[in-house]
Amino acid sequence: MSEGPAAAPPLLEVEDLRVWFPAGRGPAVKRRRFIKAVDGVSFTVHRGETLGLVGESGCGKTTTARAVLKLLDPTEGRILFDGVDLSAIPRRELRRMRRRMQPIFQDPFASLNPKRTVEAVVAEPLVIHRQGSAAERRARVSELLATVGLPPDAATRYPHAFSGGQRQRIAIARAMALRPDLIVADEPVSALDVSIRAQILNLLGDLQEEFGLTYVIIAHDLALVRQVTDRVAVMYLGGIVELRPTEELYRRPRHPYTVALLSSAPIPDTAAEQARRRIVLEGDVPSPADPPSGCRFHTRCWLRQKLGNPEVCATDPPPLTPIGESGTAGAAACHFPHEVAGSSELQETLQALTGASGGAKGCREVPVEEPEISD
Amino acid sequence: MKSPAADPAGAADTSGAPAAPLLSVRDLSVTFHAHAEVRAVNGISYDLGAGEHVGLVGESGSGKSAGALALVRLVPDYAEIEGQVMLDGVDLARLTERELRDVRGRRVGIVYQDPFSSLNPVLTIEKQLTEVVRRHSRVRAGKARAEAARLLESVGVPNAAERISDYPHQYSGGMRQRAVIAMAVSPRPALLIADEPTTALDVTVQAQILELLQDLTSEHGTTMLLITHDLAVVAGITRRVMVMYAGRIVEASSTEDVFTRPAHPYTVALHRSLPRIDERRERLMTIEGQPPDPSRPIAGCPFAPRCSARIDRCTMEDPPLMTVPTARRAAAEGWDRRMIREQDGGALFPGPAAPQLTACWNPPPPAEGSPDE
Amino acid sequence: MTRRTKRLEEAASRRNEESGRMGAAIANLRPRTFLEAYGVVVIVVMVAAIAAAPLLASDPLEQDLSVALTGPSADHWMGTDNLGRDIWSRILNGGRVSLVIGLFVLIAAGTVGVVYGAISGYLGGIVDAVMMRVVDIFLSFPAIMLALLISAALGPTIRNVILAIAAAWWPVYARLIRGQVIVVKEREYVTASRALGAGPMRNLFQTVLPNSLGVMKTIFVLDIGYAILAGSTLSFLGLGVSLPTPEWGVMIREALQFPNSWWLILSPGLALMLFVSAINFAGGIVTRSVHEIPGR
Repeated sequence: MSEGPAAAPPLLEVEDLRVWFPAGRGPAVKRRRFIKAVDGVSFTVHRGETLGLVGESGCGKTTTARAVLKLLDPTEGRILFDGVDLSAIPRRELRRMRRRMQPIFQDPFASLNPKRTVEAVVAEPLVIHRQGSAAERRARVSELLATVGLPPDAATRYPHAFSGGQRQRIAIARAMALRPDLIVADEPVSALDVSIRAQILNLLGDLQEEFGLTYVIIAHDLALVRQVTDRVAVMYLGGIVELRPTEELYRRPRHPYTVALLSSAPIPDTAAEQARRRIVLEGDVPSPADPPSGCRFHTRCWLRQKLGNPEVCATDPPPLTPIGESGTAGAAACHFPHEVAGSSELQETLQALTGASGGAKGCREVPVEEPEISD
Repeated sequence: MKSPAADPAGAADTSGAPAAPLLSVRDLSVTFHAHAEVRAVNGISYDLGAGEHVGLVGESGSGKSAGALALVRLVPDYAEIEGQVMLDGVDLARLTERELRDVRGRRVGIVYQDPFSSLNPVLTIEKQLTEVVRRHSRVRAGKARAEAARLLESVGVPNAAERISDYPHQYSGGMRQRAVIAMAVSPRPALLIADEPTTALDVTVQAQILELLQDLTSEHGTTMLLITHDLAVVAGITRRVMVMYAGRIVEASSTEDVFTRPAHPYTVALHRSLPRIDERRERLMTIEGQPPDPSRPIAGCPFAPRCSARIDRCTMEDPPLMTVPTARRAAAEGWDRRMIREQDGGALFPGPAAPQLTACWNPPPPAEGSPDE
Repeated sequence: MTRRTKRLEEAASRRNEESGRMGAAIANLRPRTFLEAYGVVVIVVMVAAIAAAPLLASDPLEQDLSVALTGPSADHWMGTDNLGRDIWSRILNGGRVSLVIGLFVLIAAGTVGVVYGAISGYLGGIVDAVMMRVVDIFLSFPAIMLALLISAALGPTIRNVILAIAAAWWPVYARLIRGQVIVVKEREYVTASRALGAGPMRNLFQTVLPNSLGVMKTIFVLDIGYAILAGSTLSFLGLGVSLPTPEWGVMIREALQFPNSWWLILSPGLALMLFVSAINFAGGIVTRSVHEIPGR
């Protein structure tokens, strides 16, 4: 729950992760081509913090999460969990590590085995890791069900008897069974009804507080990410373009893609919506089999167009560079962060976001500070 | 089939007389006879004026999609539709299947959530667009092809002339949705039903598609019913919003009112429970419990079990839609919840000129300092 | 809307989720058409008669040459064969042999096929390719030919007939279950189980397989009929069960020597036809119960 670097070593370190899938199984296979789903991603997650991975479909956020959970093997790069390189340890060891990191999936209708009772589903991790006797497991299951807010009689029923929100609670109970350190949640509420989402988000928050959990949350919904994360990594086409403390990102974005995302997100406010001008990204996301040279965003970048298409964007991939001097404001991968900061597009985007807070007073509790546009 | 009242352009009536609404729905109910009787839509009534953009907001199971698609009887065989649907003075419920097919497409265009499902994967975009053009206006093939190309360009597909000969799978999600929109607007329908048109799309594309829908419908004076679960989506492009819950319209008002002074506890709760892009909150307010099971009869207000403003009456009597007093009147006369039901005589339903309506016995007071009209 | 009433009712009866899994399963097992009801009745009556054979008829091997080759009469209401054995008794007792063959063929072929196909589908890659080529080789022979060859090599006993048919049969199941496993193993709950640290064996047999068997149940039931037919066919061709064991196929084969005694061929032929067709009619019930049990 703290921002900035923590004294303790990070719980999760991802170093230059690459996940390439072979592509082009067509008849004319000339050269081996690869879908570069994740192409050089590095980040760390500290104990007790929540990292958000945001981006549009195909940006590699889900693949990153699966690689972190070792559900697929990285093509290159290292994943260190509590200092241990997951790809360098034997199978047995990996199984023991798995106890400490658990996934929560998007669709609770797909992630629970329909042929097993809730009790069997929640107890599965305990059985796999041979924890406790049958009686102890049963006790643990009812304790877990209570923790996630399900009635005790849920244990004997099958997943199909439950609604989406309740199923997601079951999935959370399963993830909590082995008392993990890290939970990787891929779009944990996007399959749920809007009136249920807050319940699940609050539950995740409560569990984090009570058990000191660390989260990696993957989401496409920028509003949700702002609500639940401490730091955010914005991904585009297999790479991280900006990695910032959450409030920094929403108040002082420094990558043109982030600005475009913020300017596109719908605001629940009529005046703000009607007044704003959106940044329209031209064209489609390029194919991850053949990503653009230099900065991967340069083919669609509004700022590059505005600056008269500087050559450097097309030739040199910009590294993730720290912003400001303090080193606590995160990093962005753009050759022109100052031009982003000074652009009228950014100002307009932020204005729309803060202008919104004028309305709907009856529905709000927290006032929003004025954003600062300077570094 | 052709009605004398039909205005060919579908444009708003500019004469002084009160314009007949384009679409007028009365007591529309949809019941699914599945394993149990599921009353998905429970007697809703509303009017849509010509050229209006109206949002229909609700979560899954609220009946928003079933209610809209039932207008043109696009529901499964085991669904039963009751009530009256007048489009341009024609009662759609009385039309034969054949006549109705003509209405769909020509008078009522539909854009679905998943653009892939509304395109035929084995035909090129050109083939499909041309077919739509020819179905609705008997023109020669060459002319239809030219029209198809023009349509595709008008929905903002880049390099339309080249890409028209592509197959749907060669298009990105956003482009596919553009192609579907081109088909839906090609016969210049009077009413466009957009059922979660952007839910399957990414944020940057979503914004573009919404803008496109707004531009196209404004240009031709098309009435649009935008169905969504996301309140934020309707904020920019609709003038009025109807909020549905458990098969009923629980609140109807101008879009601005829905955001600045919602008049139904459900709407208020939704606002408070959703994360916002513009701020981080201490904690999200939750709406406890689940939406009611639509296969069981509900006594009283369907939201009552989850409602924090519940009073005794809520569990006994289902509240009809009632007028909400304006903030000014409330301020002048002292806010009194009784004002709400006293001023309502006959049945009220949302329409172009209707005041803010709420189906609640104990609605939230108007927010202090909210902009008054 | 009245024209829809009938269809509405059908639709209403087609699904029942509320009553829970068991209730739904039982409700689904109720026959819904005449043919289904007919199938169930025929199966029940025939199986009961076959099971109670010792009580209903005399010894099928008892010979009484004084009444050899007589038509239906009060004593032998289906007539007798050339050795004076009672056809009725031979039909009932022969049914036992046929049923045993059918069931054991399915158990053997099913077990081998399911395990083989499941492993092949789950492991994928090279292993899958090799394992499936083996299946292809088996499938490239006509099944009955294969069964004939094996049976001829092993010799005509009930056990060998079962082995021969099962050997020809399992590749069909292997291929079927492989397809299912490939689909199911990509489901998210399987990934979830993997992420929990479940090993491949546990994953395959506890998570993937139970969710892959749905289709198999239908095919299994329908195949009992075909397995019985196959057993009879082998016997008919002289490579299955041999005399004097009563078996429907053997009886038909014998009957061919006495073309003038029509009752010899009528009874086993009818028995075979009735039973196999009844299984096919009743099979629809199983199909339904598999597809309509809630919870996917």
